[in-house]
Amino acid sequence: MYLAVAMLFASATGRAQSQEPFFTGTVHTGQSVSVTAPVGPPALRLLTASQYKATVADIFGSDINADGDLPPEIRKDGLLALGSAQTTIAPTGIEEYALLAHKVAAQVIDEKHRNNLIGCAPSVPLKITDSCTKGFIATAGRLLYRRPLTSGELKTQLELAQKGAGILKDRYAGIGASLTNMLSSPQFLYRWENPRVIRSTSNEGELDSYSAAQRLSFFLWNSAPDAELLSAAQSGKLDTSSGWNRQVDRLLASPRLELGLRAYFEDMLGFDGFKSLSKDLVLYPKYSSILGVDAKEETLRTIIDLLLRNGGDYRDLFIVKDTFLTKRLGAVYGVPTEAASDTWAPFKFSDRDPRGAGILTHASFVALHSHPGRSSATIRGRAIRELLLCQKVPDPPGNVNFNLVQDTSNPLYRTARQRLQVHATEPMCAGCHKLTDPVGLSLENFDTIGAHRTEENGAVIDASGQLDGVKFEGANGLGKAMHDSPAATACVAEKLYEYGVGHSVNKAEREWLKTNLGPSFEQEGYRIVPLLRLIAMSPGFRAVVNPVIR
Amino acid sequence: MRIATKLANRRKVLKGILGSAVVTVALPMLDCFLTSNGNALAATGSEIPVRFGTWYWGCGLRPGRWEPVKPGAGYEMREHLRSLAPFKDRINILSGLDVSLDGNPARVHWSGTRACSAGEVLDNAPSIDTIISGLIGNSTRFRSLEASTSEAKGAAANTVNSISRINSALINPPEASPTALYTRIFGPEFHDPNAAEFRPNPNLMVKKSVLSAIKEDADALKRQIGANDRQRLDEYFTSVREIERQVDLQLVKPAPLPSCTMPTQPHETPEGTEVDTVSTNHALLINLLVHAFACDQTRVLNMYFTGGELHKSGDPTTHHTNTHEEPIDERAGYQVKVAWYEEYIMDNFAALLKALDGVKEGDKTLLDRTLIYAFSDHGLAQSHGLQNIPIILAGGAGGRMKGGNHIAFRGEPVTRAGLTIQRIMGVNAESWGTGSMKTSDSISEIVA
Amino acid sequence: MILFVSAFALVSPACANEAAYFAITRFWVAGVYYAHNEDCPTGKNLHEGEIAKRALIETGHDPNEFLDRDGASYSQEKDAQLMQIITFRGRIDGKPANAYAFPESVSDPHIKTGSGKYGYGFNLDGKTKSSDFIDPETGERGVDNNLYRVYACNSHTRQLPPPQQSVAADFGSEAYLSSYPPYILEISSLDEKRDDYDVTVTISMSLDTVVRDASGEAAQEQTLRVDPDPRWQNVVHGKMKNGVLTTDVFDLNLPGNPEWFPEYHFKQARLRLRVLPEGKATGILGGYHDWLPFYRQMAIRGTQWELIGDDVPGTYYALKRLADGYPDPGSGEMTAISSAFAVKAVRVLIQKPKDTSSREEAQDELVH
Repeated sequence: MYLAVAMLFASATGRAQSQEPFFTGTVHTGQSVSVTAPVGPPALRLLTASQYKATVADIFGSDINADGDLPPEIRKDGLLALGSAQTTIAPTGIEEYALLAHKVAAQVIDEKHRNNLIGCAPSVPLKITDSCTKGFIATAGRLLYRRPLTSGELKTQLELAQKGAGILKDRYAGIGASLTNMLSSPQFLYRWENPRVIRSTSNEGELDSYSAAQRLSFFLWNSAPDAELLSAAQSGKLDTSSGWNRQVDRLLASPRLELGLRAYFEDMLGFDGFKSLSKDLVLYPKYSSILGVDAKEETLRTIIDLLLRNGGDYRDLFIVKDTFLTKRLGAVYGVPTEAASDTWAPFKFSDRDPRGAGILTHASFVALHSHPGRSSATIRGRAIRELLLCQKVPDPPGNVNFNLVQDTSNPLYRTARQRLQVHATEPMCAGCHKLTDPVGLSLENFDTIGAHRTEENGAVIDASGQLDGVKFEGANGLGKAMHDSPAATACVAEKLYEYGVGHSVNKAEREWLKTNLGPSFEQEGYRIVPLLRLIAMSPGFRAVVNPVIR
Repeated sequence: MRIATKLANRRKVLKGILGSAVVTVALPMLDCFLTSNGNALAATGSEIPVRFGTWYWGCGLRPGRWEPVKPGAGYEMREHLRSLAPFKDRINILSGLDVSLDGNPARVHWSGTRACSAGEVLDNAPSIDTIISGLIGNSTRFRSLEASTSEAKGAAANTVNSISRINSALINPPEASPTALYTRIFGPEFHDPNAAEFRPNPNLMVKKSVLSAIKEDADALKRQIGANDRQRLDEYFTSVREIERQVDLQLVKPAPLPSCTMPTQPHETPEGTEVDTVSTNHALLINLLVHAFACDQTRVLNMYFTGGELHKSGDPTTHHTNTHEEPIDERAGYQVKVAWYEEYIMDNFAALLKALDGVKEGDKTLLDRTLIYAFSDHGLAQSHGLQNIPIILAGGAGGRMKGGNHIAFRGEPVTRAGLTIQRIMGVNAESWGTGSMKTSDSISEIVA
Repeated sequence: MILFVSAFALVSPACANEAAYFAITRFWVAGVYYAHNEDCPTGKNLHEGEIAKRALIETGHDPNEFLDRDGASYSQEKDAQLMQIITFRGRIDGKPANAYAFPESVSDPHIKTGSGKYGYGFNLDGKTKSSDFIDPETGERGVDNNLYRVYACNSHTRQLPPPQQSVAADFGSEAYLSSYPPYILEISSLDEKRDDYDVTVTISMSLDTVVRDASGEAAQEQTLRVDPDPRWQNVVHGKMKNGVLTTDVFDLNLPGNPEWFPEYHFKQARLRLRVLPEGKATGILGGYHDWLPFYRQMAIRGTQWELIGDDVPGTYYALKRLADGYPDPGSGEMTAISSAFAVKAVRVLIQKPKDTSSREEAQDELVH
């Protein structure tokens, strides 16, 4: 939704703002909150790089280049979304944000964009106080801050714009200074979760309208609320259950849902790891960072196709044979691709093909969770436990007796199974390794870049595996075991909920997931859109505890 | 605790310069060019500043192969460290220093790193470079500069390849791309101190206003949030002030520096953990950092050389995996492949010393005026050992550190090194470290 | 033997008895490397600059005036003048003529050509002359590869120590591979377990450029489309023996580089190719080819070749002199020259066109 000239006038007729919009002191109406479930305190959440870019694109248009080096994100309890409540910005980060803000602002005010985006005729050169400019800054600010500017904030912006225009003798430079400031400010960079107290006696509350709108929009679209959602917040409609539900359904029905779902799975599957993935290019020349990009995209397309376009069962992700390939991926998988030019085309693995474990045998999974020069059953097993089954595997202990691993009579173990043998027999190691190794060893037919192999160092690979008592052969067996595992569906429901609300589930929420969300998810055939809807309409989605009382 | 910068004088001087006036006369020596110890810059003929740097590598060194046999000033350089032989008399080798967990869980490839860099095995305390840059970093454009040869996560539990932390959440992230680091230091915002003319950039004045306006809504914002978030917001505003300080410095003509030359702009290089790629990128990065020292863009550098994921082209096993899996060679008596990596790492450390030594400053070199603190995460990486962590101190620290010593410790914490370093660099530290690693004893043999 | 083979076919992995496809990623004139230049006993041909110098002297100019091309006083105009002089050094009835368009307007400079004992290729004419090569790989005598002789003593078409080929071959192959589709070679069945069996070989053209891997080679097992154009379908019978493919004699027609060498038309061609286990293949393709197109590819860029030391009219004369096949019925002069090309290939997967017979349709189909 680009910032158009028409909007300036629309906003000018909007509701008048109170001095302190974050804390109205009113009690919400409509939706009942499960008050026996204490949930997270409000938090400041740093926008991710993709959210930053999406927001800028939504407001100013997708031809504005918002690429820049941004500070690294923190993963907490398996999700970057949870870590966003903890990231702080070091001076290097401010440097980077300031540079990026300036770059974006410079484009908005340049000759190519200014008429369309700002649209104020250059009347009196240095006067910032004309209503058109004021209106632009207020409108841009509202979209950037995801709520109307306070009068104090607006004053700050206008003064800054005036100063900037004076120094550089150019009204647009002044507007640029204001935009640069807003894009570097905590009101933009952080998502503010402002509470509204419901019951001061029990310290319970819920997110105010704007905060709730943001949470919903970032959950489903990975971007800032659009104009319609902001208006619904502003008018109070979001505080009614019918108004809220209408917006939920609107966002779910939009094609932009794909972006939100992609952002979720990128986070859940740890795809940020691809940025620093390195493979030995002498042993595996087919690997390149471009292949990494293709690998991620293959999995995301498969997920979107199965879950969104076809409204499929989540469990099928572990057995689906349909995927999408580029020529590069075809070269790694050793299958003919229809896309002989460098484009994407659908592909279906035959029943003969050993690649029958859906996303588990995609390069994005097996290559990401491996070493540079060889595969890793332990890392893959751990990834399955932690990313897909929500089961924590403890870190290795400090002082390990590695003398046990050196069997001097057989110094060269040819297959990974042989190398990891000691993990299974030594009691100190087995405790954790029995969680990971039997699972990961079933994927040993896939090397460190995802190509299929039947031998390692001349020895035939034994890909038998085990998941919580269920024995199977090879990757296809693993896929089926994952499909049948109740932990897999419970995990995605839990993670998606946590991703949406931004905190780890507490005891009461866990109970609600088990007795309420879980059975509903099953009833809906494990489809993702109903799950998203259930979460967005859940009592926990807007609930908050320990709101700050003024 | 940051030392406040004195800006009042500068504001008066700057009034009227804005916009177009060309300043050809050097500004009088302002307070900001002095550290709190009063060391002025070379331009006025006074003492040239002392610099500090950390150089970190993962997976230690095999005990028994690197420690000189005898302690003392006349130590013999071991074959394993032969690449450091040219600097024998300007480095101090500290052996036998230990890390104490005090019951805390051992986080492999990280507890030792934290102990050496911050005096504790947890993640709360500030790292030594931030303590020192808090003291000596006020008058340079960058308080400190962090680099690493790759973004690939090594064996460690840390999430970012940097030892430089202000607290558990505030990490100074590294730059891994030489071209990006060049642009950051020597790109459009760089003022050559030796350039004849100085024109304060009006865009920078606007930038200054932009930054200072961020704080105007601070109070209103802080009222709305809980204590935790308030702290994060404070850290955010502190970071903003830090950048404001940078901008302020860039609005004043820098003093000329004879040893400052522009480095050549590096070409785009591939990134990765293959050993040739790593040493190429390392050479490019340290070249930029050394030039940054010479041009007084910073006085503190942090190089995170490797977390352990080094590998040789064609070898499926990384350095780190080899430390655990390679059997001891019967004839040699140690892990041969691991030994190769350790010597490769020392080669690259020697490259840093050589680069520093290549810049003349007056009658000495940059290495004479720098203190480099090189350390690792483990002693014997094979078993994640926390005894006998290899620590090497290099450089003259402006005459404050004596070199050429091997000190063989027994049952002493690694914090002995960090405390000594801080005192040499002028930090008023009564003690350093937590729990049984708390110490108040410097290593007197190396203090001049 | 046949029963044995069928039994194997049932239990062995899926790839036995299926067609194997290769993308030919290098196709360049093959020569043998001589460490002490024994094949050019009188030395190599002129270095760069010397042709220009000679041309200036022949046409009555002062060489010193033109040859300090890096000097401060040298201008673009002067360079253009030099190019003119070199180009128009030919003389027809005393008047200047374009030496590249009319090579016989320049007297034969008798460039040195290769005279070594060893050379790759095949005995194309069935005769064993003392001047013929011995193939170092097969030991075959009477091998005919006069095309390489023409290039042998020029510094950048001369064979270099392996794994290099020649400066021109290495540079040209790289440029070609990155911009043009490779040839596709199909072997009707490839079975590691069988020893001596018949195959059908098809050489055709691809429609897609290759994707490269980290070593710079084409990534194995990538999918390429085959051009259905009937002009480039070359089918021949061959034998697989001990991992080496040898074909019967056939005519080979393939497109080349539109700019330099538009089409290859080999006559009496034959191929030998060793299939290696790691998905690669190397070999030699020999046959007669009209020699004039080899001259034309140099004539098109005339001065550029000469400034790096390749005498263009000189090459014309050498080609003409060494041409050894297909005499013109009228004049009796040889129109073709014996040649051998080094072939390198990697295993790929192909997508055969559906029932389209035109290249346009095949390409349209893919732009979904």
